[in-house]
Amino acid sequence: MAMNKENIAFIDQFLKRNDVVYVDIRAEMTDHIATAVEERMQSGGLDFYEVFRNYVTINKKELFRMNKGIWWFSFQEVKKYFRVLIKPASLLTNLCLILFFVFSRNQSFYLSFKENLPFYFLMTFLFVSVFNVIYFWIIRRERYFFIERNSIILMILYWINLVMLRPFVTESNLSDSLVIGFSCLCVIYVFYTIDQLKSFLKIRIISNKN
Amino acid sequence: MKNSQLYKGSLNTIIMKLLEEKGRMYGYEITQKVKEITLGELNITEGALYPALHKLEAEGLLDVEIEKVDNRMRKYYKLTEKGTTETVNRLAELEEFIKNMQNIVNPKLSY
Repeated sequence: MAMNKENIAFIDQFLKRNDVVYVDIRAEMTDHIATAVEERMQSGGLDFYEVFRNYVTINKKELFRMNKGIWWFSFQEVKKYFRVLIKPASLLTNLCLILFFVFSRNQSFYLSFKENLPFYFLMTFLFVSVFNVIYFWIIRRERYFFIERNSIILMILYWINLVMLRPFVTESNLSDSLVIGFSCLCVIYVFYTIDQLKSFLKIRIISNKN
Repeated sequence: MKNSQLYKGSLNTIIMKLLEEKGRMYGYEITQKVKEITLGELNITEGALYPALHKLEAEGLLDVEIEKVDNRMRKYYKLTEKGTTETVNRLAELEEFIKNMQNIVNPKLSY
């Protein structure tokens, strides 16, 4: 006996009320609960609400463990981020960036560029964060764990920039290696974000096709 | 999941082995398949299964396909190329572990 749309919406609302905020986590939990409830309805001949209540009463603790403590594995993201480093496109861009820094070191524009670079980075990080909040939280009113889990990388880069490159300190005499190194990390972040968005759009396209 | 560290340590290998055999599976299907194979002895709970699946996915060992099934989205997991190679390695490790444990627990069988 397949669930109707109202049954699915009921499960989704139940999870939402119980603080399962991420759409992707909630979708997986909804399918799990719906499949389990369907199976019990078929074998017991009971109605949806009765089976659902019984199922949730017995399994609530385990079910919500799916939603708790999911942040620990964000550290897997750090590994994923560094895996992007060895991709040809990322390697080539970083190589070009290093060559650009090396060959423009004696140019007049380089010094002011270097001086302002930490501030540009800061603005970019803030722009990306604010864009995510406005687009997903306010416009779409949907939060995706798949998207938000990469914020740990952004947070690490933000703090490195704030503490080591000190965007608000003038005449900080930043070393070239620090500027080049951090710029390379930011290039990797761009490629990493493109990868994430590609996967996200792929999933959205598959979902919309059905 | 049965409250034993022995099983917990092998959860990822169990998942990968099932995916190697079946091609692709969704979460609930994995729990039921394990229950069926072990005749109800091993019960993988949701709280153990999904974090393990997400971790394997983040490590690039699993890939994901999403389909609409009966008015809802279903997330299928399947092994990546890297995951397939890793499954072979982990199964070999597990077999070696079982063999060693057998020799320790029941030395007579090794003769």
